[in-house]
Amino acid sequence: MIRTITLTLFVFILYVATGLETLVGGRMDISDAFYIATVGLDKEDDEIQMTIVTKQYSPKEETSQIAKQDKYFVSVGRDVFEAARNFNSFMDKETFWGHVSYILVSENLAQKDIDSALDFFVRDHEHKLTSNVLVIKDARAEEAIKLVTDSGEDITTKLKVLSKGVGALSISSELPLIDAFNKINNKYCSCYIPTLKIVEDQKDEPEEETKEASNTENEKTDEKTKRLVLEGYVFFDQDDAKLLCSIEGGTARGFNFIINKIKSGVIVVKDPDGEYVNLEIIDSKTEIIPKIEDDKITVKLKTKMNSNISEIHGEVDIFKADIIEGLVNQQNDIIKAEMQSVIGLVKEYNSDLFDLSSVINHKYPKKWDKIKDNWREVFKDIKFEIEVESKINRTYSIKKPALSREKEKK
Amino acid sequence: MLKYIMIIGAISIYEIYMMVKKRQMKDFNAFLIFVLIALLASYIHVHDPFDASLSELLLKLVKSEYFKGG
Amino acid sequence: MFRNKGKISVRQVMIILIITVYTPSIRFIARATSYSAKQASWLSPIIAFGVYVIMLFILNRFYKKYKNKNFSEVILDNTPKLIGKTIIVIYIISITLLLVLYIRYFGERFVTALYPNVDINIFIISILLIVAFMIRSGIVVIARMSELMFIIMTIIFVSLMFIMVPNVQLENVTPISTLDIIPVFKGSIVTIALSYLPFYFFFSHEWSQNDKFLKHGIMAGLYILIIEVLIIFVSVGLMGSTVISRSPLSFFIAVKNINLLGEISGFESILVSTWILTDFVILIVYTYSALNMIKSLFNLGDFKPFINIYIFITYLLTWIIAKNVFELQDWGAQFAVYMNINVLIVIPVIIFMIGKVRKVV
Repeated sequence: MIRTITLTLFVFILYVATGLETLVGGRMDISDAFYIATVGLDKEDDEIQMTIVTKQYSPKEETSQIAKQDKYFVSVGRDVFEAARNFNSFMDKETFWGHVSYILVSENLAQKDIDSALDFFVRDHEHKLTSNVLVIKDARAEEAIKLVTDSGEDITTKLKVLSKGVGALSISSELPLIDAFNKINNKYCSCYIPTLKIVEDQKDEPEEETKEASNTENEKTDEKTKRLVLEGYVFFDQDDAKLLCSIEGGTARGFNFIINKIKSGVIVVKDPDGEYVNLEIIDSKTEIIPKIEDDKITVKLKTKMNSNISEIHGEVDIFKADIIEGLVNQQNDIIKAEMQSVIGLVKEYNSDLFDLSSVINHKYPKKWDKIKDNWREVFKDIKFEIEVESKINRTYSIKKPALSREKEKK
Repeated sequence: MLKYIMIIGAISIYEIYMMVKKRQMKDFNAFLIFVLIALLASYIHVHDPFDASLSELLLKLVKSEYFKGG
Repeated sequence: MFRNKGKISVRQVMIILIITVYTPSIRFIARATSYSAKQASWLSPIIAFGVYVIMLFILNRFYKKYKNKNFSEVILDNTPKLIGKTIIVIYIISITLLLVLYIRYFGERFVTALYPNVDINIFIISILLIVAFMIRSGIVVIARMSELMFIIMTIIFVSLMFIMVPNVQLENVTPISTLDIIPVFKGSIVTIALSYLPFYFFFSHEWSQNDKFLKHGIMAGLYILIIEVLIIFVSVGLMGSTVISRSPLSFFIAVKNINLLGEISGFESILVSTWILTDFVILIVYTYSALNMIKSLFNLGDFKPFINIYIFITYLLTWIIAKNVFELQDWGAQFAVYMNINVLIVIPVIIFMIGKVRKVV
């Protein structure tokens, strides 16, 4: 009995000792939360502007039309954390950051401050480290979010679709937050981040008669002529994480060839008549082979690639050894040129864009230990050599082109 | 400080009562040492007489990354 | 069974050892080893295993020679009384400081990783109250509870590894060259500091006697070796040594990064649940060991009257030891590690050598 009384007293005193304050703070009711799915960061004078897109998961609301349209909110703060906290001053629900899937950083902000822009997302306990990071080129993050959200689409879903689809052309890729942070931390290699850009579609001038009729409609749909495209990369300097350069198109694919992020893609070559033959990239593997001789480093980029013929425009039966060989050579040259354009940038900025340091460290750990402190100096004198070995393996259901006629036997 | 003295007092009364009940009074002196240590610890915790934590006092003796300054 | 009534088996002691090494391992060994050994840090536990095996042979001699006696009696038997008592005081201070470190970390872990707005006292006071209750049931109950927790811990650990190992990027944990020998040795200091077995010798009079000490000891050592290598290998392999060496909860963030099938995440909550269980074991066993040291020092009839007051002192020390978590981390890395090596390795070896000279062991 006395033990029970003493213990009760003890627990009571301890409870009082905590000041009878709310014991567990930071709790959040599931229905009282806005689940942030995409975050956009812009630079606004000297401040950070944050745009968040929320998604509600309540099944009741999911069916209603209002809930389907994602909401976005804008807030400004001295830094990312302050901007994030400022949402609480006007939003009617609490923000939950554990579901952030995409972080969009405007190019303007990324110019100098990519490290501090991402720090909050890596450091804060609520975030997951698997969110993807993207840089918005030549536009504001808010603009990109507004563009998609105002058209009634969900930007997070849109970005997911774009990320999945990007493999078809292999001109960009996905980069989780933790990988971006790892690369920014690495003083021996440059950090790359995939880019999003807003593309304006070319519209044909309407006929005179229909012009007037569609005028009002055209105004309404004017916004829709712009669209988001996931293409290319931006690079950041390995020393101070300032924006170095950006690439897109063939160069971006050349970069993907080097870092082995090619999933698929289209290569267009010409048959002997000058008609187009489309090749579909099936797989590709690049080996980066460094060689150190007399303290001179040469690096060979050896790419092995396979493709299939997916479309033929001409009439020539191209399935002859010499013609195929010609196509393969063209294919090799195209890939080589794309990779060469990346090497051109590497040389121009004297920056290790594709983590060559790690390759040398793995192959020559002892030599790396000696050169790592002067890595940028050493890097200047590295000679690169590209070797492409590709194959055209097959075509699909139909072999010969439609207009290929059998020659009459005489 | 008062709440800690109250806790120490409550523990002491209970334990001494149990010691008397179980006829283990030979351990009383050792128990007293612990009560004194507890009082000292509560004093240090509340008033912070050294204006430093235990780790600060000890780490200043060794090569500490945190206390050597930025 | 009657033979060993009121005693725990050597197997149970080793299970307690595994649990008590597991919990600090997931907290900091990946960070601490990768700080010096970088990509080769996962080799560090191998050196610690070597040291552990040597210690095991020394402790085996004590175990065989001093049947039904604890380490305090071994110390007092081999040294003059005053020195012996001083050594026991050193042990009491070190185990108390270590206990305080673990109590504070227990709370800090929650407020760092999950509930930053919650008063840390909630976690600390509640765990201490449970420890104070539980310790009265005696070591047999604690050992049985540990066996159960060991099974839970193993199942969860294996499941996590099952998901994490395939995602390891080998370039993060290579290359290994002769250049890594010194860094690996430096990194191994923290893993050596986790050889907690001598602490449990302070209640070795409650161990049942059998001749399987070495066998169970080596098996436990191998188990710990595998766990530690995997923790470091997976953390560094997934996140890279730079990030891991900068994160206060290294393995935790590696687990947080798991994304099964692109959809399922949040595995860190499973890890936290084992963490609470295993932390509870470490707190209770350390308190039990410390109380046994106190009992030997003052020749007490029973340590039960000292449970509440001792736990209250540790609670106060939890706040006196460090003002913030940065001090606590520095205290752990710069002081506790070396203190551990001294009391867990150096002193037992010295006692053993004295015993050898006196031809007692």
